Amino acid sequence: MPNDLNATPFQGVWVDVLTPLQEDLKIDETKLCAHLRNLSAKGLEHFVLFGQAGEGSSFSADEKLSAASHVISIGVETNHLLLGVQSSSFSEVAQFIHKAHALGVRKFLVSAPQYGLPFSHIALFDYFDQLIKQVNLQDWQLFIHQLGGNNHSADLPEVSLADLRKTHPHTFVGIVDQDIHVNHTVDLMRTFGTELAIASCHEPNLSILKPTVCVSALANVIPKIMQHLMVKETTTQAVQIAGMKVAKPDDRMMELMTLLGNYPAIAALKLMLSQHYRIESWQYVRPPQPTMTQELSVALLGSFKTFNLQANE
Amino acid sequence: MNFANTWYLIERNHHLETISHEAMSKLPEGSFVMLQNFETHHEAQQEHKRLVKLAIEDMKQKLGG
Repeated sequence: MPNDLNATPFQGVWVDVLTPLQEDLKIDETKLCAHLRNLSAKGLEHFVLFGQAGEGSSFSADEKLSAASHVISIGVETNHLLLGVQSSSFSEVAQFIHKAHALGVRKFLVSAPQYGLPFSHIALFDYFDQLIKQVNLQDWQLFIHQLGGNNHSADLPEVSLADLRKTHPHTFVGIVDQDIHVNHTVDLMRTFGTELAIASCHEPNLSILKPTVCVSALANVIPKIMQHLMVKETTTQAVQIAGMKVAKPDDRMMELMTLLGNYPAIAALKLMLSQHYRIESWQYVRPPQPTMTQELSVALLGSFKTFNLQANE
Repeated sequence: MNFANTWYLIERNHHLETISHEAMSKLPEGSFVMLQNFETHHEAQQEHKRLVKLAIEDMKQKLGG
């Protein structure tokens, strides 16, 4: 499949795709494809597979490759995919990248190793340097996944990011910042914004950051709203009556965030999709992801009903 | 993704409809809501039937049946 890396810049909304599961907790590839088809039909055609919302660290390389292959077979452009890779072994990551590259995938979202933390900035640089050398391909792009968390121990410090960019300018092209604190993303933008694409994942920060790209889990549920938010359009509400307050995309997104509250985010979003599609199995999450208890599910579904999600949102 | 020969499930005038891409693109803007897209007519119709059955079940429950 022809693949020009520059043909699809890392811009706009990239959906942090939720991964549907069967009852035995294997990936439901048919439902995954149907979900991507619906998102595409609603105007979102760029997808992060097996990122944070896609429970990336819960799936084996073979499972991910099989799903990616299925997704590509239904016509999703390989350049429109950013594939999550999580491992503490650079050789395992390199092997995975090679196999996915053979399918046509060129963009990879790689997080730092998670075992044996904390690592020095030199050790982290070495890890990614070795990874790039071992992959030894010209036409692929590395996006580093900064996972944030309580103490940022799994994140690459700026010095490692800068060294990596200097050493591998054609391969290391972007950062996906999972941190919810706006200052964290602002710092990355100030330091690297002119040479790297910096994607924010926390939707409420978008109005402050005004980034060129975001990786959004909420886009699974409110694709049109996220699209409007990124192009800074003001209204999405289909039904407008004189005198009625018109909800702006910002308002609707914040309503959804408030509704998610302290529920386990992935399980809660999947529950919403199960309601939206009227398919119960969309609720399944893979351990160790926290699940929704019956009580929590009932409460969330009640609030979701009040949210009144429209098909054109 | 190419939608040229695909099928949609839409809601128009409070009714579900299965409609081809070509026919949908001729509908006046804002006169319908696109719900889902399918590769084949059969898949779209199957989903259409499933949703109608669920709506009937919902209504039965509401009516206490």
